[in-house]
Amino acid sequence: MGDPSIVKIVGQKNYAKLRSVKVLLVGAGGIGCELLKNLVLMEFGEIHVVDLDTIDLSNLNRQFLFRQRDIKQPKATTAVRAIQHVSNSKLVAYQSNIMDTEKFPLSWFSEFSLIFNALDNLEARRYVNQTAQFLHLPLLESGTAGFDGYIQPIIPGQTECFDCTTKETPKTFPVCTIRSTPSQPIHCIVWAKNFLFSQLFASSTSVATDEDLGTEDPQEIERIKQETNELHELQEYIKSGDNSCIPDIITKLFVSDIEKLLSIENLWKNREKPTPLHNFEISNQLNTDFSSVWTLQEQVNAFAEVTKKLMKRLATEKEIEFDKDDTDTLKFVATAANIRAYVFHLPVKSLFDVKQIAGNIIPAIATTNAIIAGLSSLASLRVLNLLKHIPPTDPKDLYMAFTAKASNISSNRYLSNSQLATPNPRCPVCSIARGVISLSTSALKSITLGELLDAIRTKYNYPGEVSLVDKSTQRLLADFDFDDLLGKSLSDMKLGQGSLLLVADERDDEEELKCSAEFYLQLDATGNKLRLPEIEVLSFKPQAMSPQEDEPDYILNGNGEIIIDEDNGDSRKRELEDASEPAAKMAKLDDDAIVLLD
Amino acid sequence: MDKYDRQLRLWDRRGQELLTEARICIVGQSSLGQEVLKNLLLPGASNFTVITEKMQSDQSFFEGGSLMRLNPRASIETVCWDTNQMANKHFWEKFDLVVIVTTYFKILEVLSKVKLPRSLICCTHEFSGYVRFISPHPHFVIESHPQHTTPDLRIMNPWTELKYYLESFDFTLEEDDFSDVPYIVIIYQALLSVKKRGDPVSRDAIKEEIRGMRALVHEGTTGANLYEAERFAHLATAQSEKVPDNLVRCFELLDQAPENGFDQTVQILLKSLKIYLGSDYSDKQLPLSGSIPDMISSTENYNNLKDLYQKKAKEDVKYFSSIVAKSRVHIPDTVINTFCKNTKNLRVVLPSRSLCFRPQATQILSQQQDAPTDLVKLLTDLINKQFKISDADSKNKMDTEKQSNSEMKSESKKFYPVISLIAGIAAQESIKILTHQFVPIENTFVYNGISNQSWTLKL
Repeated sequence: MGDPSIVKIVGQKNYAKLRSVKVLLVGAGGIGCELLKNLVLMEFGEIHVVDLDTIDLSNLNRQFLFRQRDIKQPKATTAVRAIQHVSNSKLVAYQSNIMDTEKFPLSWFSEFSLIFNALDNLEARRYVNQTAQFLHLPLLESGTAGFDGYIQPIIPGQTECFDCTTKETPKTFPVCTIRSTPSQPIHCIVWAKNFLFSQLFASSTSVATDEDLGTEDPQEIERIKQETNELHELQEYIKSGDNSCIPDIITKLFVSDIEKLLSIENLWKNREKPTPLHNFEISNQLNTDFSSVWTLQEQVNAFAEVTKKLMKRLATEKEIEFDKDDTDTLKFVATAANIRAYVFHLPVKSLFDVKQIAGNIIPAIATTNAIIAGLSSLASLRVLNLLKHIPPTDPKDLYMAFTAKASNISSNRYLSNSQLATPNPRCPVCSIARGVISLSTSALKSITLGELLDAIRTKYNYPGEVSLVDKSTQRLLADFDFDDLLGKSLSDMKLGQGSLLLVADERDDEEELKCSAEFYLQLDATGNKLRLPEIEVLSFKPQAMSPQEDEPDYILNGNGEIIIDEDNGDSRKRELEDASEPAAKMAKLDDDAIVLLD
Repeated sequence: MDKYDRQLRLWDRRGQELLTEARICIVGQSSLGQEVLKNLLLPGASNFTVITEKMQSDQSFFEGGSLMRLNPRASIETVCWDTNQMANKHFWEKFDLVVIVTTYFKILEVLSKVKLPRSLICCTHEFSGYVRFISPHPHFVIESHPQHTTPDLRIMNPWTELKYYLESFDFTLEEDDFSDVPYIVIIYQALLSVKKRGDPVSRDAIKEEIRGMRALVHEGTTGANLYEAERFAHLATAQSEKVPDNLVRCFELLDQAPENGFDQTVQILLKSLKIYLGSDYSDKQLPLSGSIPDMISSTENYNNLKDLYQKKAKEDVKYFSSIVAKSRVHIPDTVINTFCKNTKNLRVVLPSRSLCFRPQATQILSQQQDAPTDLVKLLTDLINKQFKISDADSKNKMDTEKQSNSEMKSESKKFYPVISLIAGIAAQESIKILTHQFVPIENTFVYNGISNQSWTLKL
């Protein structure tokens, strides 16, 4: 396209640099489409776009590179195809998960000068953040929710990283509330989606035994376990594809299961008793208005109808995952949740409202994405120091910007910008030493876990009492009283390209401890059997700071949902008083339950 | 509607309808204008007139009909600027919003003299840009979507049924298990005790009273609802009969409200609200919102309370509707219902009164002392650049040749990050204005991309 304006803005010399820069854009959704356009018009030399998703109808209100005809097409390749004709940049698209270590090893990331995060989930954000820390690559993190959004430049070693402040994980509920004693509509929705639907249609294995049930009543625990087993019977009904068993399914879920709960008298001492759905009938009368609240009869009818449909689908699809934009699955979850709400005398919700809760839907609009993409692309030139007349800035002066709350005019600033904080010394991600261990494929088989650990211990002066954790799977591989696996080879332990190992000093009562270190395993074709990185692992005084304490013990499953007790939620949150200004703002965003979405 | 699912959750069907039906005019065909058009087509705005400065269009990223495909239902009429036709106010009357992005002085000169509907004018130059909201009328926001709302519980002056219900509870702290009693009842009874003693009613006095109640609780009762009552004691003293300041301001400016289209609806609703507040029925209280927060209680007690509040809210809406009906203009029930739920948070914004404005930094600074000097200077500079007016204080007057070339110049100094940002903001504000939801900028926003500073000031 050869736009003269960008040359004028950055200057001839910087323009030449810009043309040789290779950047990575993770996410081709709301912010991603806008960013890709800006980066192309700014004439970056090479732009690589990664997105796992395909295009959905509900994306078309903001993701302007996609059209109706592109639905179900991969986002990354479609976006690149849509903009190719005006692009003066080399564009490369990947329809892949950025966390795929086979496809995107650390060495692949190291070819970029800058990473843009335009993601919609915490897990991938954390992963890219960690990768950027490994490689000391600048990262431009961004997100929007409704009218609000933020950008956060992350310069490893100089500014705080994505994990320096605790991010809110999805709200969780004790198992007993969900299974036995719901007191809010959301409890019924969680039951319908995470328990009932996944048990019946998804490939879900039985509920983990070490789950925190949130109750110590032996009768109730027994009941919960028994119910799980009985659901397997229901699953058999569903698999049979026999429509005549639908009334039995309804009876089981909303009559006999409820009667069993009622028989546990302890549960109802201080609670109102549920009313089983006796004498229900199924008719053909269906309501099609998704934004109104249906009557009980309409819920039952719709439940029967959609169950029939899903049974038929299951025969060919083998398993069905809950998807908020898959009307059948949404209808099943909404009607099951609502019938349960009737049974427990709780408010009933419209399908539109259930969709928001069940799908964790965060409002998303074109305009906020345009604003945030504008700020992010401008910040990229600062980070790369490509602005004529503007001297290189202190990384801390690279702002985070939030568009102001839509209805908040008390502030004269529509955008607020504050200095970035320095890295949090207690951050579980950026406060630890990092390096890449390269080893040959044959070494994977010949080197044992014990040998590797010894090598690490010797090289970095770790004491005998250390623990070794496989961070990719959150597995403990060894510690001072667990040495069973030390004789196994690395490949036996399923360690290989892209595995992340965390070594931590586990001594008690020492004045000074070694900092933790994280190692990325990289297969090396040049013949080195095993090479440990030249990094310095510092020591620290545990009284002053203790990275171990803050080591996250979160377990993220596919949906990032864990069922634990609500009260545990805030225990590790950084004290607001300790936090510097931007951190406080992040915490505030978190408090508003804004999950950082595309 | 699935396409708009993610935004209906912000402004609902009412907002979406207003946006879809809005007639929007974009004056100017620069990259900025194209971006604004894109940002409004995406959420579903469907009626556009784009006025181009000259016959041939600039080379642009959005070629030909590609923009159209963002919203197949949209109609985009492109017309060339015609001074004869467009110097007449009748040409502009049909638009709900005009977005001015042109830097052509001749066009701006004509626009400064003609009566325009609500407008946004915006411009970027290299790293900086501004957006200004212009209208001779005040702009009313009927759903401001505040971040936090205080529940309207009327504990201080309950209506008869509520009073009767709150007083029907009879329990002795020392003996009874009262864990089924909602905190509204506890706060009310604490309030009565404070009044009975003749003490002045304040939040602290009520809190003190509830703390005293806690000491009396017999063993075996957690008193969790007492803690909750103490925490929400401030709701007792919420002065529900006082008309909030934002609403007073709305009433003051009511006479200047425009009277066509949805504005007519807004005006009738506000006038009706004023009559409502003056009526014997309302006892100077706004229509009840009808929703109550979650609280510790037995389901039965909670439902009884909820029913009482909802019933009263329905009655209020009914009475309010009877006032609205006298206007003889049909307003849908859904609109009236939503209005009644949000009366406490009605807002008014005063836009910049006219496009014809020759700002001088010194003057603005004397009026708005907290505004940062450099941003005010930047803003005046930007506006003057767009209007080709040299600052009176400046010694370097632009020569004529420069003036005639400057239209081209400003387009060649375009910088996409800032264009993306300013076009995003202009479209964001357009949506707020057209839906009468969320509070738009009052009234001029300026951004400096070099220092990354921004400010909103009243011009």
